[in-house]
Amino acid sequence: MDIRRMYISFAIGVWMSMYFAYLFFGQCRIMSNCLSVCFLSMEEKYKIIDGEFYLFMTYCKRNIPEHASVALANVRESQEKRFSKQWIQSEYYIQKLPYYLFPRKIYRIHDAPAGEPLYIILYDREAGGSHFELRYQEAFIP
Amino acid sequence: MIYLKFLGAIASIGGAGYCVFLICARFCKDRHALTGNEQLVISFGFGTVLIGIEMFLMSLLHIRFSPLRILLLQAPLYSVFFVKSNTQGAIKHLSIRRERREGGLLSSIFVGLICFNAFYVMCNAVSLPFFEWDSWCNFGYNAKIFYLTKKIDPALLTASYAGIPHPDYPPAISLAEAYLYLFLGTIHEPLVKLWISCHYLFLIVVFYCVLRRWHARTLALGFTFMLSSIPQIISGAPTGYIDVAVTFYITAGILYFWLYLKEGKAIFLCISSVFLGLSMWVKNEALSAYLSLIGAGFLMWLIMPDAREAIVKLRKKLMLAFLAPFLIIGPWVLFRHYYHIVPAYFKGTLVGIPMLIRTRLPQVLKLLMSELMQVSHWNITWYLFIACCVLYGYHRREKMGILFIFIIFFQSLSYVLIYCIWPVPQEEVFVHILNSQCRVLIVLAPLALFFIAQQISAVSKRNC
Repeated sequence: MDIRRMYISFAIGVWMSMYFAYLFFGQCRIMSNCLSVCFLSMEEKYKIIDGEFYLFMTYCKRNIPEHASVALANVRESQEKRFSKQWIQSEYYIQKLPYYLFPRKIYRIHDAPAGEPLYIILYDREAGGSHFELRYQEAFIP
Repeated sequence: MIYLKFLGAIASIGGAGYCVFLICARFCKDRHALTGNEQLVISFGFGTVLIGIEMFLMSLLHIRFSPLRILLLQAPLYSVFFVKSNTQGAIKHLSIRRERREGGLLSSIFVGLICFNAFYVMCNAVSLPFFEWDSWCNFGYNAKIFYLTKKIDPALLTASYAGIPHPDYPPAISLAEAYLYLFLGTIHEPLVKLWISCHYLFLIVVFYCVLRRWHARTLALGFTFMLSSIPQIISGAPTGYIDVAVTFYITAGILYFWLYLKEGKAIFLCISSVFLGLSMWVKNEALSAYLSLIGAGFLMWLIMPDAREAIVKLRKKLMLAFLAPFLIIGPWVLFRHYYHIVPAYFKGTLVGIPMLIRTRLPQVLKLLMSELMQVSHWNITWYLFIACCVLYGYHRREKMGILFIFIIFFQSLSYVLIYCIWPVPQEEVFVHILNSQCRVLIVLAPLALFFIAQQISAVSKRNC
């Protein structure tokens, strides 16, 4: 065997063993999960991602007119340590609200413009709860 | 029905890209230097960003987005395709051709594993809507806004109530996503994710086609399998993140530049130049990759007499090719400047930068190095790369291969610098680095693997 073939065989051999050790079986498992959700409706897919929060968002979408201004009262925002699990979860919801509710204008409660009719969304998630579970109170004040 | 519309949208993207490719080919008079598979992938690559640029220009002209208007504006491109070229010949040459089978069982195993990886990525992409943070927060959200407003509204980009986190990000991919939504008539995130993940496929096809020019099929397939199975690429491709997409544009740009240096055909330089220009419409970091390529070329000119001669001989073409990407990205840069859409990096003063570098540098280097050495993230890519750099130092078989070392060095340097001056508080910067380093380093992996393939196969001149 020439030296080049030896190098190549060694490199690809080690690569293959790492591939099977770290990736392949995980891929098979994930693929079976993916295939099981592939043919679900979009509603169900969004529910898988955002759970109860998605239901809350659809409720908000139904009840707040387009182009309305919305203020977010995030009751725990200032209490959490930055980059703690709770803080990340809270940020996730804050960032995802405009994503679901666009073209409605979303403000944090302290940035909301004065004198403009506002809808206020107040939610309170259970600190330390599972990732996608959200407990909320809806308070729409037109 | 929605899948048929999706196929129609993809066909229109590929068609537009192919017309631009034909224009490049006619300009360089050398279309047949590229295989049909390469042409197909190049067409889709060109098409995706060109649709974005077209929509951007439409918005500047106050034309609201609709599939019909977008297609009508492409009509002149298609007329070039029909009038100026031999249509039948062009389509015939474009068709995917199967290679003559050689290499036996090992080749078949590599092909099987590459197909498995590709299927995994596609299947994973189409299973769920966007769920990774940046994919919905940046690109997905922008796409949704462009789709719903049917224009790019500069005031909206910077409005606090819209909550767009990075308005300075180039809009081409978001616009291409919006184009798919327009074509589908609804927001269907899984199909958009599927399209974004196709760039993974384009990346491995381009990588294989360029390697195949010098290597036996088994060897080229072996290295392509290695690229296709890098854990970070596999996990990044189906999420809707555009790091793999920008990796495709940058890799194609650099590999075709390399082909030009090796074979001297103008078509390679032209394609490289267009790819590098388009890459800057995909993600800001492509600019640093492009500057790394220029820096690497300059260093080669300084230290290698052979390269100096070649560069001096080709200086006019190279100058043109180096200018073209700046012209391509020009409209977006002007737009950003006009509407004061400034990246966060440039909002502060320069005074504190040396201090920031001094305090953060050791930690940044430590984090990046420990990331690169993780076998569960990169397999043995970086161990092989270091071994091949040593090999290169001893043998210098493929002298021009130093281009890749320089590019990887400059690009890594730019990441270190960016992390050092990142405008976030000191205590948070490392959290951001840990979250993003695995994604940004994806750009370097195909270049490192190409260098590895080149050096290992240059050890002996006998064929495999």
